[in-house]
Amino acid sequence: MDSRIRIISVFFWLSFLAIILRLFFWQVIKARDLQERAKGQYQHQTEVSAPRGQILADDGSYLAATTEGWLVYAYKPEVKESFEKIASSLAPFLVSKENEGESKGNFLSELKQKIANLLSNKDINWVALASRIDSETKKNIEAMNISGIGFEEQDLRVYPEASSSAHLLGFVGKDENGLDKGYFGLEGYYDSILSGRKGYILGQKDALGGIVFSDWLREVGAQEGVDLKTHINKGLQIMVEQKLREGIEKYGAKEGTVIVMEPKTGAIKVMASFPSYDPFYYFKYDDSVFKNPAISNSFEPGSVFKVIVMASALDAGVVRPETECDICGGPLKIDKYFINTWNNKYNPNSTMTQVIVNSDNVGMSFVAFRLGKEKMFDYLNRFGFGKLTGIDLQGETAPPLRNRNEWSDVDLATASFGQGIAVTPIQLIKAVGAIANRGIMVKPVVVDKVLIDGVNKDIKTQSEGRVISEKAALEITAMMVEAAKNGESKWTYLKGFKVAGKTGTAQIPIAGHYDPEKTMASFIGFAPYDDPKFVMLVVLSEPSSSPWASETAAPLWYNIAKDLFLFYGIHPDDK
Amino acid sequence: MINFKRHPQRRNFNKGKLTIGVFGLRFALAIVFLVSIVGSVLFAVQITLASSRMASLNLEEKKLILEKKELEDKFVKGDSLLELAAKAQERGFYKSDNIVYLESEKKVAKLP
Repeated sequence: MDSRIRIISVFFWLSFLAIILRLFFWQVIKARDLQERAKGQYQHQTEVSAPRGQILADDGSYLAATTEGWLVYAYKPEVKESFEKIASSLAPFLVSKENEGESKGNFLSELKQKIANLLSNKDINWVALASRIDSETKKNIEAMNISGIGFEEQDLRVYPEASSSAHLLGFVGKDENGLDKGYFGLEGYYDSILSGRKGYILGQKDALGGIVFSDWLREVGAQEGVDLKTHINKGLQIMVEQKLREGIEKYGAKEGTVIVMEPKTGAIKVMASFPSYDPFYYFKYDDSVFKNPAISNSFEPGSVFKVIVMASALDAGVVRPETECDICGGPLKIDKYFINTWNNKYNPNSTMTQVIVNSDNVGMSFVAFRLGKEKMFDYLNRFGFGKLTGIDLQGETAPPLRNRNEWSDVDLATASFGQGIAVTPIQLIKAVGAIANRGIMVKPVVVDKVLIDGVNKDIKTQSEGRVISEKAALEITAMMVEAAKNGESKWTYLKGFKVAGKTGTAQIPIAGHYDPEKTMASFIGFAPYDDPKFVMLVVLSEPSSSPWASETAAPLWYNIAKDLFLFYGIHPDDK
Repeated sequence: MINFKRHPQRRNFNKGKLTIGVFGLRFALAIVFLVSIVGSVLFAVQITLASSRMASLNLEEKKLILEKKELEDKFVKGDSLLELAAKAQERGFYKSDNIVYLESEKKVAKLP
């Protein structure tokens, strides 16, 4: 009997020990793991979204905005209809606007096939069918009541004006972690403040998933992205883009760029370039199109650069408007090279004003030699060539200037008429803006105000100081007025309007020599010359109707200026 | 240590007090037990009420956010100047090709 009791008691003790050991295993060794699993059951975490800030035009209308978008998915265990039928029902709603048109039929059948293939994949139960669809499309799909089809919310970055201002705005893509990230233009430059920071609500939930009110509830507030109000005028931007597109077609140009800036504040009112892209469908375009030619493309400016060199010489006091060029009677020989005029006509004893009006390359070489290499280099530096303008757009580049001690006589002469030197459109307009602003240079800027929680923070005009004297600025302005009225583009001059301008036709360097056929045609000018409201640069790449800027870029400049005169209330009052 | 046998009076006194103490303790424990049960029931009811109120507020917030987003969406889409221009053109609005500037004649004294 005793032995039986002993056996039973040993059994109980062993069982007790086993239970203790098991409890030790669960409560001590596995404690952390179990705690985590339990948390997963009762803990509730909700992400509070921080919408990306809006980008607004100068009148507060949208240039870029974040709206509600959806990802359409299929959860296959709940799907009841055949995959082909689902694909046929969904495809018409998922054809993007980009694919509407003649090729819609082909694209539709491709899309049906794609959806059916995705659904047929046996390895996965949850299939993402389409992303970035809008609420209207979602409602249409919901109305069909297809079982197994669901939606997941996602932020949608939309651009109401489609490809308008694309280079200025940039686009929102994904980073290496799949998170939204701004690239190029304003989206790229201001990405960190536009993005904001997501928040979280941490709490407990009941069996049905409802939030239980307890001291467990924690909330980390979301920080919304700031809104940016730009100087861009939507109406002007669209008008310029339309005229630029027409101009490119009319003159058979390959590409084109227009920038309109207010010289006193540096405010960029318009920045347009073609070819362009739709930032909403950025993934359908080649990478090369994302680069903003207005800030990233360098080119040899040609004769528009003459105003910079002449302004420098006037400021240095080495020439005066009435100084006569004593080498302008024929071609100029430097080493083994000859400097000719653009039309092979020579004007002996031209004054400096006539040199600008006739766009005389020999006359400009005369100016450059009077200025000298050292001063030329210093003035180009002062005008901001060789360095970034600091515009608030991502992707700006600055072609370097030749080193101070590397300038030869030929380099000095060719630079005086804008060959052998590379600039970006934004550098050029900033420099001529300084002339329009009576010698004071301001930094070009796109954003006017940053709106944080309804409070406006002004981005103030950043003056970069005086580049040339007011006297020199007024003298070169007078020369530009004469060039606009009596230069080679005089036929397109708008009588009565106070315009100061200069054409530029530059040859394009290809593989160490200049292409005899291809040119860059440009026109830069400002108005009214006595109180400039805007300075505008038009650049056309390789126009085929005529190689000359006076027959391509200049008429386009005046065509756009007509509308700018209306916008700024400028009347034809030049007597 | 106190020797109770040598001090019977003191022992009785202490014994009486101890009896009252046990009864009081039990009573107090019962009260605490009752209060804690009622308290925890009330607390649970309160939490349930607050949670359901919170859940309904959450639901309402979600609905409002959704509605706000839809309205914003419509507003953004309606803000397109290009679409507006296309609609205007459909309805016969055209931009003038030519701009005519009028100049008012300045009045000066002159002989008839």
